[in-house]
Amino acid sequence: MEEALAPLFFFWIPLFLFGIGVSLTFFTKSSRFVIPLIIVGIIGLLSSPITVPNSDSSAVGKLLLDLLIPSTALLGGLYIIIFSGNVPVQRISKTYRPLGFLLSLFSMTYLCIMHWHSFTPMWRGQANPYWIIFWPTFLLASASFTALFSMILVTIGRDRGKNSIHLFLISVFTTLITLLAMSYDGNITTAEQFRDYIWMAFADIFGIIIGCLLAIFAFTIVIAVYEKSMPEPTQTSPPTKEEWNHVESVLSRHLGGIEDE
Amino acid sequence: MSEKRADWKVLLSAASIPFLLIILVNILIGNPYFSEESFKRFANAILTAYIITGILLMVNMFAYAGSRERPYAPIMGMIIAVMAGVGIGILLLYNNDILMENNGSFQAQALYNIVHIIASGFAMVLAVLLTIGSLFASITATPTRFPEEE
Repeated sequence: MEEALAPLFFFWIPLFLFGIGVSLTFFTKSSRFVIPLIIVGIIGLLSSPITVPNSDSSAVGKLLLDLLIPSTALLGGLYIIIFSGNVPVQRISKTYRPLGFLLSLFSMTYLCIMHWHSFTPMWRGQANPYWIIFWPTFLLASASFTALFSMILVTIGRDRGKNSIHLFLISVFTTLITLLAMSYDGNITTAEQFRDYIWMAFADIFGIIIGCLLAIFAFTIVIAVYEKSMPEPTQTSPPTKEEWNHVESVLSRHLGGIEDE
Repeated sequence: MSEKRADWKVLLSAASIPFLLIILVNILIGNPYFSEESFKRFANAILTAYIITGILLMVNMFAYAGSRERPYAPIMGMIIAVMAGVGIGILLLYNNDILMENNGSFQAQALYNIVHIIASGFAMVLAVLLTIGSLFASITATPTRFPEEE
């Protein structure tokens, strides 16, 4: 009984708390309850390989733990690059900019090393089953999103050709990594396995996008139907001559003024 | 002043170029099939993403209700929309194996779907952050077009 309840307390409840915390961030300005919920959720998920090692679900906690270093390095590196650039607020010294590039490069190299050389996320003596889901999904999504934003910059932005090329190069870079992973065996997984999971990654990406859009569509319909059912607001009568005169006098008192020297 | 407008066809084709290239190489290497397993994954991903996003939006409905003297109708509407997704999922999992992957029971498949979406969702969130981060990193690297505020 205790063994059956352990995953509930050490994996699913932290996951639930994390979900509630994330949902609350959308509509509450106070972070007094939200941040502790998210932190407890994240700690619970990351510690699940230790607290509930017998649960299969803990494999995803182990994967997140293994990805902590490269993902933190990637986000930290990008943060440093952005805020050491031409930003009007919270600027970081330009001397840290190379560190940002190094961290971003390190994170991508680290992920490639995880696939081809060592540190491959493991679970019960085999490759972590969720690593082979994460890796192709991340590569495909990155290649596609950067290509999309590269085109958005060209079509909407003004004089953003150079920025568009930067994003396009990242898209080419991630596409190349994908093609290499499809051609050469990894440390634990084979190129054939990776190619099989490419289809799964397509299915996941499109499925998640369509599912999210359907939920947003349902949300929109529910609100639209409710708003339509609301009674028309009562019409107010137009301003009287006296009210117009009052407005005119207020405006005349506030318009004009002294010209700048 | 002329205003630039986004052409969705162009944007979508740009987003799908890496996909198409990788699919083409995958087919040329000898993996031409979108297998039954991939279809099951696709259907499971749609249902799971719909239900989880629906629940997140349902929680947000309370904020909307707060600005409308707390009506029950939209909250109930959203609960029904989410329950419809759960119902379709249960029907498809119980009555035939359209959605069942390598899991022994309905409960195992439902829990696997949630855990699976954590891995793939994390991958997609990290990809979005990489894209937006790179976009701003590139923009802030170029000289500002406006005089700096002291």
